[in-house]
Amino acid sequence: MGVVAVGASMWPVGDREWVARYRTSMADRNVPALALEERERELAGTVREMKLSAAELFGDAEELASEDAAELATVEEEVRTSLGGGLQPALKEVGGMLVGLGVVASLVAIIRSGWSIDIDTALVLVGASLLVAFLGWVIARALFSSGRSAAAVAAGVGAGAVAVAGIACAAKVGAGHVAASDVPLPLLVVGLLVPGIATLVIADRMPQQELRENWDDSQWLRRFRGGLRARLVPAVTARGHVAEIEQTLAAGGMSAYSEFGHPLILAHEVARADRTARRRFWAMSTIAAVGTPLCLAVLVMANQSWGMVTIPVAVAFFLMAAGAFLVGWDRRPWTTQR
Amino acid sequence: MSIAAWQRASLPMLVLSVLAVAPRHGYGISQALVSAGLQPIKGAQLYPALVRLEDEGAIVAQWEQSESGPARKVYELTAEGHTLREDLLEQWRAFMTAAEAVGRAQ
Repeated sequence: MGVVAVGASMWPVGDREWVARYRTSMADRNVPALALEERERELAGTVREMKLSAAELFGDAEELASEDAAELATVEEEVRTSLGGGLQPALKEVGGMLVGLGVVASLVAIIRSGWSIDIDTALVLVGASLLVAFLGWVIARALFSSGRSAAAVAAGVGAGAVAVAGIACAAKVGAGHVAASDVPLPLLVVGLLVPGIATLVIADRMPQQELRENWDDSQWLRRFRGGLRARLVPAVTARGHVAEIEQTLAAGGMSAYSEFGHPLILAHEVARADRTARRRFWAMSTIAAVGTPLCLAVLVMANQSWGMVTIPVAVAFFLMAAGAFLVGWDRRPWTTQR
Repeated sequence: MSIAAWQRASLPMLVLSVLAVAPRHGYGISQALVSAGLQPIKGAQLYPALVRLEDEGAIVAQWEQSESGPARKVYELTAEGHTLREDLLEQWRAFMTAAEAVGRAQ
């Protein structure tokens, strides 16, 4: 029987499709790479030993992945890979956003012009302002998720101020000022897409980051409280948790990190156990997931910015909103078991 | 499987059993477990377990002013907690009986 190398293990060629489905299902499930590699080695070893196909031995790949993820996922991995867990997840978010904006801007340019385009100064200023606003949003979210609320507010306000100044500047300049004329469309598209793709490549090639281990107690407590607030734990409850940990530290004489580990990991675990935080988090994420495509659909319809394909694009956004609503409803916390 | 891993797996039952004797604060629960011969349990494991039990209504917490220092959060078992403890102990006994039977059969 032929075999194909998969990481440190060897899978029979006939199981390649099953393994691919297993891996796809395990992606983004907060399973540490080492644990996943070990599990795959175990599965591949069993397949070789029993001389049966993976499907015959383990059944459906997605079902097994769900069971394995429930067992192997860790809060540490969730924190490490989530926005706020460090530079790498933030860069991935920024890269994804830049690619998204680049694709939209490219498509609008393709639909509205021919092979070359005159670039209006005011339009560049508006585009740059929107980009600053979006980047500010990502950075503020990353800082807020990492428990740094004050820095998040400062980043949000700073980016907002720059964006407003940019738009005001664009209004002052007015239409008709051409920054560059007859720019070849392919060149423009490349220019719009390269920054996002480059950011994603850089993020992908970054070494796996480790969570910080050196904390003094006051820093630790601040980040723990910020982490709780970022996971929407009510302020009074968060203060209570901080006070209780302060009390434990005073009684035991140990350091916060040595006793309680990373502040964001503990904050995530505590927030997950808090009914109010769970409901708030569900409501906020569902509103964002449904509201964003709905707003985009309304904007597309109002501005007719996609020319002949305006209606299909708006319908696609409406469908995305409907899908997000159904997913959100399916995960409603008052019926879902923890 | 190490003793620490067994402790982690059975932590809710152990915590409820400690609180069935008397109300205690978090550090006191940890000390009671050590006094009973178990390994020290880090706050990183104990604290989320307490929050979960409180969320499930198995325990309630209230702040009590201590004579010598700041207020302390003291946990107490509820009626639901007593029932849950009985259930968990029953499951534990059933598991132990089965495991011992397997051991004897070897």
